[in-house]
Amino acid sequence: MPTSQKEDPAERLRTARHDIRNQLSNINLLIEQLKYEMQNAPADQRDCLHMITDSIEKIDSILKSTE
Amino acid sequence: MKKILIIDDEVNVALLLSKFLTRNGFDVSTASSGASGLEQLKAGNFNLVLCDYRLEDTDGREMLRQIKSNYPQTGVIIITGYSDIKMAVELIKMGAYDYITKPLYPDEILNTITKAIETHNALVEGQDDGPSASAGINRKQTVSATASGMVIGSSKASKELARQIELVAPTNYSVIILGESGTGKEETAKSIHMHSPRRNQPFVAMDCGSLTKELAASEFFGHEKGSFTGAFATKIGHFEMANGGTLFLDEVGNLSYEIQAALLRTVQERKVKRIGSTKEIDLDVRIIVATNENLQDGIMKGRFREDLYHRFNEFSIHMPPLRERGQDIMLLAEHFLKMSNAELNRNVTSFSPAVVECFMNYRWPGNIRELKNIVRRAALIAESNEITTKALPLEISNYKIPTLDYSTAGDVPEVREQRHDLKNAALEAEYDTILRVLKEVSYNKTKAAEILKIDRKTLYNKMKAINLK
Repeated sequence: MPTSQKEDPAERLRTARHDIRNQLSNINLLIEQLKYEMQNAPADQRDCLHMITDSIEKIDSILKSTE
Repeated sequence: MKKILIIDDEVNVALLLSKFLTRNGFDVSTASSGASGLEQLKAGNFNLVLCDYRLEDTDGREMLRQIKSNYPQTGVIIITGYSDIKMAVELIKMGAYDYITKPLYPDEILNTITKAIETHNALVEGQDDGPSASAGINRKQTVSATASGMVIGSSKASKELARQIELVAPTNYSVIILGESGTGKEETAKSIHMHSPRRNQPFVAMDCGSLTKELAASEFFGHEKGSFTGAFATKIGHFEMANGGTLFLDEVGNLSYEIQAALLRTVQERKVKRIGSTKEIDLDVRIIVATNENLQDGIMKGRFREDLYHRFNEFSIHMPPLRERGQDIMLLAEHFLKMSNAELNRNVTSFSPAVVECFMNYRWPGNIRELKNIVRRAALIAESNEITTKALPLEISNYKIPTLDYSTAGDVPEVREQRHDLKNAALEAEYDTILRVLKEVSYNKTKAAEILKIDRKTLYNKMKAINLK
């Protein structure tokens, strides 16, 4: 019996990766916007933004390892 | 200001992207569905469309198809959450400029967009005058600066080239493009394709110089699975791939005699049969070939079939070498500098007078390709915002010597003119250059070919042609 796309775990993982990456894009763009708005903010606040970017890169590399 | 349309059903992404790009100097519009995207495209001339692959009402492939058929001069970048190489290749073949995978990184996006706009730049400039991009005058403007910037320029030689492209593009003629290595033969072929009624069909380029005898047939005609040892899967040949569009054969002079015979049959009958198959497939392919050697010479020596030559030679275009395009050299150099700045995120603004002199005197054996590489390299290593001779590679200073030799015989421009008139000037110049480079590298042909920016086979052929051993 052929499995429908929804039941196929590989397909589910693929869709999940896609959706997570969508949200990561969103966060990346928000960081860019905040960086722009916080140009005069103290350095440690701006560092936080860099740390978030690092975490996004880590999440993406975790996703890549499941491909 | 360059106009960009973002089509993405994730409203937040579209909004944030739009803010980011607006800050970076673009005029941005957004659409949240395929249908509204197409509606917006009708209203304005966009330089570039950023389109998400997964849309609620359609997908990136369909959008690309529609944009390319209705607005061929608008660049398209597809954004997707799937990293699927096969899909990427397919989209690029369909005419997408690039393919960005999510997660999006703003710097990366900006870089890709800048490059895409550089490439499509001139193509859309013409549109600013009005929507009738197919009108003769507009077409001329678009031709005058295609992708690599090969045709831009105000010299007589480049204007003549633009005129010829405009003339032959709308026809179905086969074209031979003759010219030295690096003069932009492939760009010219692309330009012909882009200005022909076939522009929405595939443009397939094939380098015949790198084909082995054994592989050539299956590359051209394809093969069926199991038709010979190693044929694990059915392969579609380049003729079939280009069906409906244009097939560009580079370095056609390097094809073996046997393959030429098979090619002649296909070109004459306009039918192709995959190896191991009995089914004939009808072909509607325009053929453009390019060569850097004198094919007629090849015919005389029995290396190239005369009948095939005449099939190809319904029209021929001579690509002027860069050294004959005097005033264009700096124009092109500045164009490449701008491109390199965008690519490397640098801000190098000018060339020092000494560099300009070097550029004008140098012989550019590798032509535009060489100029582009040298400018890119210089932009990377320049220490200030001006490129000085320090940033130029040694071979340019080495080349100063022959220029001085010529200048002892009189004023340089005058000598140029004389050479221009002489029938064998190009050959002589090649002879001089090849000999000098060979001497410099102690007759190591691989090294010489590298410096001359031609492949080794071409060097051998040239050495043979001018009786160098």
